[in-house]
Amino acid sequence: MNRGAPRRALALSVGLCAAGLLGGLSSAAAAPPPNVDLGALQAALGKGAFSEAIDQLEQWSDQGLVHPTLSFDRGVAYLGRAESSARKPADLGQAAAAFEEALALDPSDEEARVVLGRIRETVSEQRTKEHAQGVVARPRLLRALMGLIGEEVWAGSALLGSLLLGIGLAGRLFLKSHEARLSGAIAAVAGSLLLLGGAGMAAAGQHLRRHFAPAVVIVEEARLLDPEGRPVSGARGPSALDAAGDRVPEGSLVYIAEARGALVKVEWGDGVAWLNAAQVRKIATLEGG
Amino acid sequence: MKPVLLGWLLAFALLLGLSGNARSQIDLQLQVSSYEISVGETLEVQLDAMSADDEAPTRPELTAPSSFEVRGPSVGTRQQVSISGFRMQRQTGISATWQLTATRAGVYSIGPASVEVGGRRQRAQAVQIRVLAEGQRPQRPQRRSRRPSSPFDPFGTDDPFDDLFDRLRGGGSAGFERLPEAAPDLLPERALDPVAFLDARIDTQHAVVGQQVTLTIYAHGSQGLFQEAAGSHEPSHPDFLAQRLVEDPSHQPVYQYARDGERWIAVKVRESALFPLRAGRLEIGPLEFGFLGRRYAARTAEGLRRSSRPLVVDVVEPPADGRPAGYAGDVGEFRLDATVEPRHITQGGSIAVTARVDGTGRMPGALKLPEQEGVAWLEPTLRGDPSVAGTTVGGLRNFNYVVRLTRAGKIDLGRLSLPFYNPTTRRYRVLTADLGQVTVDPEPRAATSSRPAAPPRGPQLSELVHFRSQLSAQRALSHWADHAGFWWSLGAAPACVLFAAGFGSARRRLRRRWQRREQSQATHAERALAEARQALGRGEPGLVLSSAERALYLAIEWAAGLRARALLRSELEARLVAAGLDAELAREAAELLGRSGELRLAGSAVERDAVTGLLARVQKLVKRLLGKPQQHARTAADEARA
Repeated sequence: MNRGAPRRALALSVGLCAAGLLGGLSSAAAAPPPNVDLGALQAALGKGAFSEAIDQLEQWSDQGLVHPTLSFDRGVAYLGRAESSARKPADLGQAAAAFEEALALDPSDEEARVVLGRIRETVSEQRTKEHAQGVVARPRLLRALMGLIGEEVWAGSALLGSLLLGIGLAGRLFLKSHEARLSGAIAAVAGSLLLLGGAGMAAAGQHLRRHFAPAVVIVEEARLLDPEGRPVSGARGPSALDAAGDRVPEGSLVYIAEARGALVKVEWGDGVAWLNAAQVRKIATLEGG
Repeated sequence: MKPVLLGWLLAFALLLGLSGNARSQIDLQLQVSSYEISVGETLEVQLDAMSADDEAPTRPELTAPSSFEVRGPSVGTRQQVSISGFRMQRQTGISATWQLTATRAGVYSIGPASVEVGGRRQRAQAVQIRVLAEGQRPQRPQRRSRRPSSPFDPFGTDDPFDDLFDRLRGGGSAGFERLPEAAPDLLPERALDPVAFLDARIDTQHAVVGQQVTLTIYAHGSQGLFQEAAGSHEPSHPDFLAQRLVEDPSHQPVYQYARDGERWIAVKVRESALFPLRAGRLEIGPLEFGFLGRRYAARTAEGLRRSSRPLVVDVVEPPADGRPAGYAGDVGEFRLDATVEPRHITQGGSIAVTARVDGTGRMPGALKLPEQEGVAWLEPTLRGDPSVAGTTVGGLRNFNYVVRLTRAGKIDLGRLSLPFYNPTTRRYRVLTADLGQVTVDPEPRAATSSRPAAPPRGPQLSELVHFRSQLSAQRALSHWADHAGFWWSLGAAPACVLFAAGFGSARRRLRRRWQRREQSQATHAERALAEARQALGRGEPGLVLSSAERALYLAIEWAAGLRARALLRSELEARLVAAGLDAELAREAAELLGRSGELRLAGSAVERDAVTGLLARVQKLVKRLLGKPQQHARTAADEARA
């Protein structure tokens, strides 16, 4: 075998990987912004007419206009009303839902991330003042892993593993020296592990994304129910630490797995239960093809 | 000392009165269908919670011992008007019913039952009942409340089991004919049962969320008058908000009609206005009803049980087209007006805004307020005057707002508005009521200076974020895992390497085979024959013979594995046969080789025809020899051994 073969094989494989990725990424085209007038809303907020701005932003949301700025502005309007004399009971939850949506649409929005954290802290403080017990709902392991290391990172590591496996195989199959062949075998094993782990996690992330819709609790407390709609007292995951684990606090992020009539089956923490569908707001997403 | 004591007593009495008033805001009554039942029997427990103010009771709960299986509650809304002296009191509330089936004998306390009113839980007193062992017959007192003295009795007799038919037969009275005749649209197409049945109807099968759907249930009986037995199971309608239109079926008119020679009577036993709470195919459950009468089932308290059929309503959301901003789901036809008093106040004072909404449909729960800085709208007090015109729910609702004005100057209050959807016209409308201007005088300095300073306000969350007025182009989030190309590319690198390795290996194998083929006797024999034919064409007989002879030797080597050139002509035939060749082939090969040698010895005098004939025979023989499987050439050692 001539010496150019491994080089040609590797070049071909890298080229194919790159072509696949470029082909995939190029399909996510930028959409033009919705044609809406935000000046009037800004003026309304300036004079304290929060509800007027909220009504308009909610109407756009109902019409299917999805944009991180519109979601962010909706959060600003709800938050403004929650801290004004015109506040309504679900305003903080609605603000949390709006900022969560802004963050889902634009994960780089640090401002939305910070204010979302502060809203949840405020809700927690309010619950403590009202002598309600705190609730710690740890996410299940898979979701925690996906939260720590994003789906794209797992996908990237799978690609890296694929390349490493290719290089290792090339070294093992084409090179003559014993050391090179041994290095190739080690690289192939390491690449295989990386490839399997990364691809598995990327597939798991895709599954979570496709089969669970994020939603936020928009009432003061959402009572966990059974499939027949009866309140449950103890059905919660092992990480809900206290007796208040049968109620989901306002602003909490849950994941809807299934909807049945007026109920939705949600994953909250590492437990699964049902909630009244009117007590949660689904987060709009703008998934590309 | 005496006036002081009197004063204390007066204050105490006032306090008692006030607390009594506070308690009297909610009226709770817990009733059971029987105080004595047997194991296995079902007890009906009903909690009536009536509230005199606008805080409707919600979330009924019942505490029951573990010796009962509890089903329910089924909850219905109630309205009640009572006149005491010159005062009319209107109460709204709920009626929650549970079914408790006893599993163990004993004396038990049922309750307390409770409801939530204004965020606080109010409790009704518990009731004690006795459960007898299975098979023992409880002494069942007649419940006058569940069986009114004259239910369904248009002739005013006090006997609850009086049977109209008996009286008609016995006395020959024309009483039956005195009953009003049932309207044709009230009659079902056919009798669903020969004795008694329930006919449930809804006025529309398609509605929008919030639109009134009227459920009417008639009880039809062919065996004379009947009463409603205790223990009816109300129709379930969890996806609807219900308002009872028929509170007491015993006051409903009784109709008569004839069908197939039978005399039937029909009574409206239930009528409710149902307001769908969500879109979808929403189900209304059956009513389970007991017909009680001598000819139905007088001996059992449950009566002759019959159920209505379940119904389904297709409910959709009001159309998205033309939906006004701030639409809160109100459906109906309304009017709105508002008054403001006073129009001139001092800064920090309050004005009263009274909005009046009237019309048909479920009364709106809120109006859109014209918010602005310096104008604080407090939670309104709602006063309602619901009414039912025919079967249509409607009425009047007053929204009394206290509005605090903290900014001085002429303030334009703006407009109250009420967006709603009218299912009749299938259009949205936005009602508005202009509130006009209010003059707010600045607060006097003395008042400002004497007021303690407001505590410092902490940082506000809303100050952390600012409205974004620019929209940028939005790129849809794309995930690698969503593209098939990503998954293919994962296999690309290893697959390419493996392909390259496989390709290299195959190429080597092909080359070796090619080389073997190039060196095989068959190939050389074919080539020698081709050279012989070319030499024949050129007229070179010597070359023809030598080429033909070479082709023959190679063919022999192919077919017999013998290097025939090294053998004597005389022993050739025998060696070929010994090597496994057919005798005929061996003889011909030996003959042709011999003939070739002879012709070669003739030199240039050889005849062309003879050469051509020889070549033709050699070609045939070579073809036959090459058609045989190849025998490997023998080595010198093999030859020696042979």
